[in-house]
Formats: sequence, structure tokens, C-alpha cells
Amino acid sequence: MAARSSRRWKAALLAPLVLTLAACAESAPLDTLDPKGPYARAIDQLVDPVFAIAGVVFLLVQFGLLFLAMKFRNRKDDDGSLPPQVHGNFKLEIGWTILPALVLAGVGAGSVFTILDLADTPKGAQEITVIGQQWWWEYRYDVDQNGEDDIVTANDLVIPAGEPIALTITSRDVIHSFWIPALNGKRDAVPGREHPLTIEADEPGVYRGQCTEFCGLSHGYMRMRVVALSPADYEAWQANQLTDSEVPTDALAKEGMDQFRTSCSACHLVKGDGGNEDLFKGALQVSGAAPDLTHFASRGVFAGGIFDLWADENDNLEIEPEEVGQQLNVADLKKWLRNSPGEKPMYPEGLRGMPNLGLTEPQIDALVAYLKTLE
Amino acid sequence: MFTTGSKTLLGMGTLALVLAAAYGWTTGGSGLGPLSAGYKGAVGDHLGYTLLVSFGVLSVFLGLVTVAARDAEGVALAEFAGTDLAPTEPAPAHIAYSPVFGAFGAGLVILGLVISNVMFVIGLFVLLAVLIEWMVLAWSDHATGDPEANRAVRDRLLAPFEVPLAGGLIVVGAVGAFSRLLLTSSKLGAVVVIVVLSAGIFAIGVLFATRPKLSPNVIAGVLVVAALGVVAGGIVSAARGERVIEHHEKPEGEGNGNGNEPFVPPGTNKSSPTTVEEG
Repeated sequence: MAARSSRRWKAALLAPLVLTLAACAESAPLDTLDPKGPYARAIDQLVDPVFAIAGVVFLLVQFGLLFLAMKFRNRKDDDGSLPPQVHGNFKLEIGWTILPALVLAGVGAGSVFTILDLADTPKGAQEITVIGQQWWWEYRYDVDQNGEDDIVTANDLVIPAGEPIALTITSRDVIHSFWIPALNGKRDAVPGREHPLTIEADEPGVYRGQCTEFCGLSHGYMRMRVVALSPADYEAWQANQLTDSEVPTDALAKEGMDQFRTSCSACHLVKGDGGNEDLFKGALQVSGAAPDLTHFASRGVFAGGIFDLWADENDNLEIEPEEVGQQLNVADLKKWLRNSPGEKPMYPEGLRGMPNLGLTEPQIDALVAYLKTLE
Repeated sequence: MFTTGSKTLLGMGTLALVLAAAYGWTTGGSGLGPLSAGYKGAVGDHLGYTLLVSFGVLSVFLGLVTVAARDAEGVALAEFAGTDLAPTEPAPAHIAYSPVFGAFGAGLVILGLVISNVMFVIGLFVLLAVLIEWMVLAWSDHATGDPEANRAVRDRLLAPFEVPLAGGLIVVGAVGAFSRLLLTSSKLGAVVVIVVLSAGIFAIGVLFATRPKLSPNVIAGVLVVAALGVVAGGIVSAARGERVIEHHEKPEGEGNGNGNEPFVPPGTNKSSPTTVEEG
């Protein structure tokens, strides 16, 4: 009996310790309390004092409960009589009405001003359309602002660091939610609606996110990244994205291009002479879209963000943006081409996600060689 | 023939009808239109013409009723009833609001005919409510010889309908007035307005709670002033209109222009199946 009681006490002491240590994770890309831009910082500056106030209230209430439970516990010599009953203390009642009201008014005022600040989009901010669909994100850039999108990419949202970016978020099928915790709060992507959100990254880097509205089988695998580049790197990236693909010179890659035109044109588009614009008639998906692969190899991830596309020379997948293009993550790319529904839960028979194309190993090798040329 | 009261009403009615005809001819009326309510020609500006004619007809009608009732004068009524003495007039048991609300409903119906269907329907409902109230009141006033008991009978029958309806109308009115106030204010102004309103409601609640012996007249006065303030603010705000709210414009060429088609993001294959048969 005593041993069991001792075990319970140890567990009771260890549980908070484990929880506290769990909060000290070194690599926590979805940490909401580690802002990396002014908009996320505005939220953090609201959360911190509110959390502190809530913490103080929590401790006061808990210690009050414990104190009262201890003080008025049932004792052996208890005669069953009740302690003096307090009723109708006017000052106390006024106090515990006004104090919470003041606290809530302060929290409310801070919340409203933060919301108003977050709703303001600076004039001249670059506009990017963010479109969610099962189970990946598309980003469309109207560079010359003529009403037609000039750059269409997927999974990686590339932005210049230090500049506000005005996102317009929508969806093609079901409700998703766009969330890069280091840069701003969540914003739902709703079919038929356009929701604005402004993000800004202080420094170049990769900021990760996750769909936060349950959207079907692979909701948990619907990830996104914001890749913030220095202004010069961003200019270069943009210039590269505005070019079209060319016919590969390598024989295996050329073979892969032919295979791509045969096997992938029902859903994917690659613009340019080295692509399939002549065959592509729109993606045969319920959402009506599949990732544009014109610059597939310029991205850092694929398959809705669940696989890294590049590794460093030591096969380490945790790489910096400038290391993209060094060494292709061939193993995961082949696994994906071999049997994509086996790598990520999808419903290809219902035209939701990529089907198993039944490719042979030589066909996969050729496709990998071709995809690598789409920089 | 004409009594004192009827002369005023009949004079007003005749003047209104003459003015209606003149107004009709000077605002585009043709031929005998303004004289025949549009049967033989145009009446000109419909709104003004309808208002003047309605006012004229109503005044003439009331004038004729006044003639028939001989201004409700005691001797005349005795003569009308064929008795030697004027009947004793019992003191009114309560203030009768039905005529006021009835006139309001009639006004809504008339204006609604010209301005909007919604106003017309609301007017009909007001008239229906007045009719029911008046009928029940007419019955309950003679239910017993005790005015207090009559009042209790009337409340027993109508209060279960009146109280929730009045509560609902107060909520609708308050929400409507608050929303107009918030929509006409700037974004920051709306925050200030709602904070001030909330603080005001809270302060009034605290005042009533901490002063249990407060005179009912003071309470009623505070509530009336607050209600008038909210309603007046709502009306002024509605007249002022909403602030400019930015809307994202759709690219040209999308949809059929009637705004009913769902937004489809660019790059979407619109011929893709949206439903799939289960295999």
C-alpha cells in the first residue's frame, strides 16, 4: 500500500517535470511563441502579458483551493458543525466583480488593437495568391500586376525577407487553413472566398507551417514552407521562375521528358519546349489542379511538403535554401514515383491525389533525370 | 350641419385633395389623371401625390365621422340616442394607445404601398396587432364592474404574447441600432463606441444593483433616456450610412456578372468532375 502511494507521488512529481522538459525542444518549427516577423511578434506581444495574467490568476485560484481544502479538511475531532458562513459582503462582491472586469477590459482592448494592426496591409506590399487543395498548397504571383499570374509554384512560398507580403488565401475543394506560426496567425482557406493575410520575415530562412483545418485523408501531411530570401536572391529566383523549360540535352532526361508527356500530362503542367503545354488540358482532379512542375527542381520539398527534395553532400536533409540543387533526394523521389498512394494517404480512384502509375524502374530513373532538369 | 370639429377635418381634407391635384399637374400629371387617381391619365410624382391624397381622404373620413357623432357632445348624443338626459361618461380605466399605434400602422401601410413591400407588410402586422389589442380591450373593459379585475383579465389573456414580442422587438431594435452605430463609425471609432456602450450598460446595471431602493420613476427615466439615446443614435447612423468598406475586386471576365457564381481560383480546370461515382 505504501509502495503504491510512493509510486503515485513520484509520478505526480515527474509528470510536470516531463511536460516542462518537453517545452524545451530545440527543434520546434511550429513553435507559436517564437516569432520571426513583425506580425507574429504583434501576436506574441499580446499573448505574453495575457498568459502572465492568466498564470497569476491560475496560481491564485489553485493555491486558494488548496489552502481552503487544507484549512477546512475533515479532522478526527470534527463535530460536524459548519464554519462561520459569510454572506452579503458588499465590498468583496464589488471587488471581485470590478477587478476581473478591468482585467478583461484590458485584455479586450489589447486584443482589438492587435487585430486592427494585423488587419492593416501596407500599401505597395507584394501580392501572392495562396490556394489550398487536397493535399498541397499552390502559390501564384502576378509579377507585372496585369491580372494574369506569371509564376505558379507549389509547397514552397518564396518571399523576400524584410518586406510585407499580402496573401490572398482561398481553396479549390474543401476548407483548409494556412498557418506559418513564425510569421503570423492562422487564416482559413475557404472555397469561393478570398481571405487576406499579411506576413513578413525578419531574416532569410525557412519557416514551416501546417494545414490546421481537417481536410481529409492527408490533412496531417499537408505542410507548407515559407522560404524567405535576401532581396538579391529573391530577384534571381523570380527571374528564373519567369523562364520556361528547355528540351534536356542528356539522353536519359530526354527519355524522361517523353515519359512525363505520356504518363503525367493528365494532371501536371511543365511550360516551355521541354514540357507538355501542347498536351495539358487541365488537371484531372476533383480540385481541378495539380502542382505545376515547370520549376520542380527549384523547390525544397515535394509531395505536399512531406519529402525534402534536396540533401547536402552528407545526405543530410536539413539543409539551407542555398544548398538546394546540390544533391537530389533520389531515394524518396523514386519511392514517390513508384507508389505515391503508399507514401501518403490519398484517394486517387476518386481523383483526389496522385495514383500509382505502375511505372517500371527504368521509367522512374528517366523521370527522375528529367525532373532534376526542371530548375 | 357641420360641427366645429368636423369643419377643421373637412377643411384639411379638402385642402389636401386640392393640393394633391395641383401637385400632380405640376409634377408631370396629365389630363384628368390627378383628379381621377390615375384612372384617366398620369398623376405625376407618385409618392407626394399618394401621401397628399391619403391624408386628404383620411381627414375627410374623420370629418364625416365627427359630423355623424356630433363631436361626441353630450346633448347631441342624447338627441341621437332619443333620450332626455345625456348619458353619464365613465372615467376611462386606462390610457388607450391603440389609436396612436393604429394610425402608425395605417401610415406604414400607405407609405409601404409607395416605398417598399417590407414597410407595407410591417404596417399590416401593426394594424393586425392593434385590431386584436382593441378587440380584447373592448371586451375586457366590460367583463366585470371592477376596472382592476378587467385589467387583470386583459393582461392574463394578452401578456403572454405581448411580453415576449416586446422583448424580441427591443432586442431587434437594440441590435439594429447598435449595428448602424458600429457600421457608420470608423474601425477605431467602432471599438470606442462599443466599449462606451458596454461600459454604460455595465454602469447602469451596477447603479440599479447597488441602489435597491431607487425610485421606480428614476429607473424608468434612466431606461427611457438610454433607449431614446440608442434609438436616436441608430436612426442618425442609418441616415448617415455605412463607412466605406473595402472589397476585393474580382478580375474581369469571371462569372456572368450577377455576382451569384462561386469564386473559382485561376488555374483551376473547371471541367474537372466535382463528384465521383463510388466504384
